Amino acid sequence: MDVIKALTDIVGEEDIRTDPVELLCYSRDASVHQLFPKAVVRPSSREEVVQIVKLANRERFPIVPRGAGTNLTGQTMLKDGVILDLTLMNHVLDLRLEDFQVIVEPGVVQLQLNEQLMKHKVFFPPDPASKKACTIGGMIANNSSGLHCVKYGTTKQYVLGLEVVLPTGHIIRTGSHVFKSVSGYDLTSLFIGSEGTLGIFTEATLKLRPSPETKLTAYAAFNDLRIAGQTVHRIMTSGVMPSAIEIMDKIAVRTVREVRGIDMPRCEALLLFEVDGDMEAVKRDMNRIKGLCDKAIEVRVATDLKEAEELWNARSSLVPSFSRLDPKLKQVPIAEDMGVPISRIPDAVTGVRAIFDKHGILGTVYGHIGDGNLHTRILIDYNNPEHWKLVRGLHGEIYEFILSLDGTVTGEHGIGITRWTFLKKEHREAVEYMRAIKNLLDPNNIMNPGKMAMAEYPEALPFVAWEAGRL
Amino acid sequence: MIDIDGEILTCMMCGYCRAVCPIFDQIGWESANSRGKVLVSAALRYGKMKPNADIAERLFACTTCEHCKEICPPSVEVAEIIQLTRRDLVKKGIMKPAHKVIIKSLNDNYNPLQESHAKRFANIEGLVRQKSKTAYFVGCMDSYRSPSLANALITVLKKAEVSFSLLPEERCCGSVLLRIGEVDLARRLAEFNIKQARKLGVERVVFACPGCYRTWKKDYTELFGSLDLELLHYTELFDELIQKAVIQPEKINRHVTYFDPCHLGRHLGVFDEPRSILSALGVRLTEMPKTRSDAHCCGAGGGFRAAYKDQSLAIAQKRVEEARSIGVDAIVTTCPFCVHNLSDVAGDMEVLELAELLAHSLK
Repeated sequence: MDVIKALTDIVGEEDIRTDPVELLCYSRDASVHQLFPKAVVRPSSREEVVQIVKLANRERFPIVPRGAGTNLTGQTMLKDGVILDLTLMNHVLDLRLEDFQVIVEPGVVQLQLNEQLMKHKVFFPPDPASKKACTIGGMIANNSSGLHCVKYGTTKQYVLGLEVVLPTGHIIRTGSHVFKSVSGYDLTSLFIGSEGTLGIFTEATLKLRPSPETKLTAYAAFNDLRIAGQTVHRIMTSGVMPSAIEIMDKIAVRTVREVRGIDMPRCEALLLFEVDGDMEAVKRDMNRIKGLCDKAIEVRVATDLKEAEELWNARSSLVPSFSRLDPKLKQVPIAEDMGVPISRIPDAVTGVRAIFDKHGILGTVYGHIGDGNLHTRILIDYNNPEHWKLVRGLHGEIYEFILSLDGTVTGEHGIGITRWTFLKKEHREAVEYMRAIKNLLDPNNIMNPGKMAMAEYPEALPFVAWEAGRL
Repeated sequence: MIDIDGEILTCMMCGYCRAVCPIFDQIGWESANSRGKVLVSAALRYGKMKPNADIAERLFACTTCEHCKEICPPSVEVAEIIQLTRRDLVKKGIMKPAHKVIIKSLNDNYNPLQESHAKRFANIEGLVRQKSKTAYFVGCMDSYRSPSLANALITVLKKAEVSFSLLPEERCCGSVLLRIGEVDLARRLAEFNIKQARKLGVERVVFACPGCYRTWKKDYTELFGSLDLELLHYTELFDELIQKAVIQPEKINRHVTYFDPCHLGRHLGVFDEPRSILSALGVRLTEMPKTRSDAHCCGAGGGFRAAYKDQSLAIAQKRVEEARSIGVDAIVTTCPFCVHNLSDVAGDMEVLELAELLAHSLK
């Protein structure tokens, strides 16, 4: 059977590409990996998705759904398979303001959705840094989160129900249109964060929140990273709920100052806070936070929106500024995401920092620290095989350390390919039951096979995008 | 000249450029997006792919609007990477047929529009060649396609009693050649134009066309070093003259929007002066949904309109619809290319050059 012809019959000539240039462009995402597909198709309806999945089962070729491909661990690339680019399925199907819900297709872009919702003074809170480009389908597949999830929760808290095309081509609807329901197993939760291994979402019912009335932003500078971490814990256990709380280590602060010329205090660590709500509440909450920062060397509340925006720009420009620190070095997302219980935050930030210093690696520790989520970025010579060797070792060392703190190897970016080896280390026997579920739903193993450690490590998952020395 | 290897390395493959690339917005495949074009440029540069028509099709589909660089977290010079890579394709004779026509026209007649060089200023009145500190560089678009815009500009210059002169001989600034990758001819045209300016002994050059302005200010400087000339767009000059009350426009009762041309706005940072002039004209201004450095491209530049006309017009159509959605009577802009592309699809929405509005208000 000519699979390409069969796919063309399903989506039409305009919506399938197999030329080497297009396949190259779909061989990457924001991770270090690269895998070349056999074809990319753009279905525009649930019916086309079903037909493609059924074909994949009959002819036994792998498929993966893909939104904007902004993911960080190789989730949306596939060797010799067919990528389903779902960005044509980008309609807001039904805005139910009276129920604080919206029903969308998977290709709707987060920011475009929120720009529409803003007019009605509601919003969809999960806000990954990629929100300008990322799609709802991708956010659900990754259980994406961002700055404001410390208060508002992750994508998981905002998906009431899904329409899923299972790997066998059957369609099911999960969840309901009710905020609270305990009827049967919570299948919606199973699919959220499944990284494209259990099904393709063709519809999602999302919960909305009212937009907060106002916000206040502040920073606190510390001359000790551990004390900054301890302050985070104090704040998170005090009863105040900041709408965002971020940490930046000294390398982060220095990078933003030197590369962007943003005026940041000289310190070992910086915390950035935001509180939102009505005016009385935000003033009160900010005063309480200031009080809890008594060990800081400086605390400053932004006096107006412009100053607040500048502070958040400093935070959001950290990773790109890091890219510009040295033209010969490249920043790579490896060991870039992890989480710990909030009491272990001080140990986690200082411990990861110490690992970088021990190996002489130029790395920074930062992140959505309020829920114990840390990020790192490291700069390496991409063409130096010794650096890659070092990075592989570092990867293991950091995650062994984080697991020793009762932590998780990924707070929000997922397992994908990059963290394949750590799923078993974290979840041990439970991984076999995850695989059993995978086998039940996907008996022919066609849906994003090998990802998320749902099969034994296949040779088809190389660690690095370009072989060192060939860039 | 950018460090192309460094720029390619800096690209984080984050995909944020998908939110702004006008070509991606039209075509929707990843190869149409800035990120895809960086990958393709890298594959060519490092020998993983050989140049061919498929690659050319993707790499020439870019207006070089630099919106991607604006949204790009580390500000990767994607448009520069693409233009440099186009040079390699052109050297191998791989280019769009429409661009071959443009190159021949520039070679033979010093303009990209297949018009006669001798007739360059045939439809423009009031041009002078005289000793002056200020040269007015008309540009090919105004010379051949929109002489009324040049006439309007000259009206304002004369009303303001600004002494100016044409260059003894004016040839295309070479912008389109630099965008599509034919550098040698661009360099020869640039050398000629600069020599003409030196011959005239001018201290400053005023431009009507942001493309010419950008090319002199950024590209000529890169090719030849500092020119020791003050370079400005007419909006910068006229705004100053209005502020100093040298010219005092009468109020115009219109409800308009201002469309930021990419070359004037995002590339050169000129956002305020056109708006200041509109304010002096007393028009009611409603801004486009995206403005200034976040303004969306009209779809014409970088050789895109010539080689991908339908898609170029489809992009322009979106801009016109955005203007309609804000309820204005007219789109005012300051670039002949934007005027042309938008006018082709604007229907009953008027598309005006600011110079024309200003000239009208000084009558």
